[in-house]
Amino acid sequence: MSRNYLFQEIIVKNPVLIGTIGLCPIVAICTSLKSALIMSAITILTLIVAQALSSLLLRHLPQWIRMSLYMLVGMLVVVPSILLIERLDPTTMLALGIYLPLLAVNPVIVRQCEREGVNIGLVESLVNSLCAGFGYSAVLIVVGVVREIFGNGTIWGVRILPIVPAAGMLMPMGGFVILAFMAALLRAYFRKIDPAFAEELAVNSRTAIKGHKGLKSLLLDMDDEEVAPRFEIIQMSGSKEIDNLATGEEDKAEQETPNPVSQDKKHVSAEEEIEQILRDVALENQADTAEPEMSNDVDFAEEPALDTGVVLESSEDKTPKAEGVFAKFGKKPDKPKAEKQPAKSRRGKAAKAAKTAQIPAEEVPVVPEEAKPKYEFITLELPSAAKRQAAEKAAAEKAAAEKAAAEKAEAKKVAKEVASKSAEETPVFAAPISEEEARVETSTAKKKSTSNIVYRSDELERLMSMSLDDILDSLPKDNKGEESEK
Amino acid sequence: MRTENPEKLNIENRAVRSYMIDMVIMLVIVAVVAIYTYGSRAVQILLLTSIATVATEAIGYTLFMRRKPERIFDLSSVFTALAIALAVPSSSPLWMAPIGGMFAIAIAKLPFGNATSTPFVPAAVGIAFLSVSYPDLMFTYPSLSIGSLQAVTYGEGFVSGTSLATMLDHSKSIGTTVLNVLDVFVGRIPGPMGASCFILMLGTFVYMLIRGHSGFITTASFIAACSVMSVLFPRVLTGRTYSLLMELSAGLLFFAAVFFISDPVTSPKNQLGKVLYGASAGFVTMLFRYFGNVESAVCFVVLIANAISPLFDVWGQQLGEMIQQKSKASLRKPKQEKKTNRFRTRGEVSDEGGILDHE
Repeated sequence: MSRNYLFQEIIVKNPVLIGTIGLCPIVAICTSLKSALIMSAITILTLIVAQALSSLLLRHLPQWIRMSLYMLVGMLVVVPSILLIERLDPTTMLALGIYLPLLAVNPVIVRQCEREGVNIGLVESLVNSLCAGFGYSAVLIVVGVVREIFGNGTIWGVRILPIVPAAGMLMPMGGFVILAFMAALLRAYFRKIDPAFAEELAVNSRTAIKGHKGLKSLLLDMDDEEVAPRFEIIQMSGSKEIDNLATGEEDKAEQETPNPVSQDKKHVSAEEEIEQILRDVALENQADTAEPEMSNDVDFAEEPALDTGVVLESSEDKTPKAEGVFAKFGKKPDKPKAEKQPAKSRRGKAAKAAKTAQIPAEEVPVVPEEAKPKYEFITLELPSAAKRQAAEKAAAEKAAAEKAAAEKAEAKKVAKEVASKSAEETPVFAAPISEEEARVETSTAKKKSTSNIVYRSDELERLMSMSLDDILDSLPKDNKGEESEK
Repeated sequence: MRTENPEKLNIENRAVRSYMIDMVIMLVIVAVVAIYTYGSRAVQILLLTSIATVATEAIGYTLFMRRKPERIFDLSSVFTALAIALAVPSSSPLWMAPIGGMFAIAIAKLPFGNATSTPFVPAAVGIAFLSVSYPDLMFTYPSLSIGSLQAVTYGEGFVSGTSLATMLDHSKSIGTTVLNVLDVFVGRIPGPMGASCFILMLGTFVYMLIRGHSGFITTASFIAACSVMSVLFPRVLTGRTYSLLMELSAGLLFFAAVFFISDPVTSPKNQLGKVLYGASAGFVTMLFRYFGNVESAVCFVVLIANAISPLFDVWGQQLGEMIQQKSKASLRKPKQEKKTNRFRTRGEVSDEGGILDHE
């Protein structure tokens, strides 16, 4: 196996302490070692059965049917086990009340099956479910023992402490407190072992946990789409519609998501980006005219069949070796994708055509610099006058020093560009520009383009008392573009 | 040991201390009256609780948070200790209030750092923990009609008196047991050590008004809501005024209103939000009293309200904007200078400013 399921499910992806699910049965009835063991047995059995079923049969069904079937499978397993427990120990079963049947709808089942069960084969899913059950049981047992000791002074009914320290631990309050401290201890352990992973976990636990790849089939490569934020995909194609055509649960298999922003680490200038966006807009127009009829039908039969137990490891493993124990669980830089299977549905085909087609450079319209919109920047500052003035002075001095240096550099650049241009073309009024004139030109151009409006403190208070409409009315009406956009 | 930035530490200590000094003074006055009523037992409980709580905080800071224990000088743990000690009956064992204090500090204050970042009032957490873990010890009070308080421990020879809260709850009237109203005012009825004397509670309320604490509005709205509910739905057969008096002086209601609801760290910052917060907390407290089976429910309600206090902030802001828009018929003059509002703390400049806000 290419993954260490045990360590992962218990420590890294613990469903209770890191995933924060399945808290209700723990908090409510896990008040002794006996009940903890009963609950863990039921959970492990349910998980194994559900995940085996999901990897064999349920993966072929759509998701909205799968969710209700998980409940059914849970019931099928939990109800007989409760009857068994009733035979063996009726008092405990009655004491646990309604929370024992509640284990049939344990969210850990849905989590494991949806994330792993429908993607991996039978043997793998058996191991995975066992390990996830162990993860849940570990928390159950620790919580049960602690609560029993503190709340009763016993372990499995055997008296250990002469007094009862705090009966409040048997209540949900104690359960939550203990869970909180356990989660904090686990994260402290992470921070000690691998600080990078701990930081990432603190920021966004979903991406941190999902980022790690193990056994992944080529066709169901879901990482980039779920991990990458939405705006990167929009930047790539320039239009939401092309992406919306392709994204859908049925077409995930046929989707190609190259991520130019993160993959190509070259410096892309603004002009090139604009040209790219315009190119994609033209592509979109082409795609619309080419295939006007798009059906939203999903073809089940055309979904690719998956072999069970296929181990696929790419030979071009260009990932750098990261430090720390959790290197394989952390977010990796994007690898170049292997070729996917050809698209089968019409929607996928259109998306592929749109993304892979190229327009010759002649047809791309060139946007002159004058037509590009220029924005005014309004800066509002806080009314603490002394601090602001001091900061202004310091900033002004810095800015003045920087301006002088920048202007000199720009003047040199302008002179060079003019010289190079004059070498290539022969404009009519070609006269060599001295450095001083270039500096004057750049400074005046700067003053015209940007205007920083800074408000004083009393003016600011007046503005704060006015409503937005009044403020906008009182602004200088220079920008026609902004007003028309309202 | 890591030392914090001393400037930041000083500023935060000073800010919290400036508020806590007032609260500690109020609690000390209440403690003096409790000592007068209950004798040496009260002194013992107060001292033990204070020592245990402050020691827990110092140990927590040095061992687990790797900081110098200079933050104990912001008096917030002293406030917690005194509040818990005064909410506990005089007949409780000597270890109960210190354990409550240690729990409060270890679980409701240390994991969150300083006093300015606790989402729940630690004293309320401690009292709730004690109410849940030791209900029999927490809610049996010594009878004061017997001359001296000799057998004050919950054990042999102990005579328990019924507190006002129990009377209101069980008998639904104070008709059969004739109570002297002066007893209720002065505090010669069984109850928590610090919360029995109604005149003293009113005095602390007035002290808060005079000092101009920002939490005064919260407390006032809480008490107003409780009064309205007790007048509308009296549990006492002798009339609505007596119902008002008895409900307000029974149990920890006024105590929690003055000390826990007004805490600036956990209550909303918006003025309208504060009114909503106090009013809903009062309303829910009275509901607990009518329909719940727990003796002292104020602390639970305080915790619930602390949990949803940002919501009151948002609601107060939206309500304020709605009111402003509706009254926007005339152009409002711009404010030229900010007036000193009496009920804002010294650190607050606006509703969302201040050192004691969450960051």
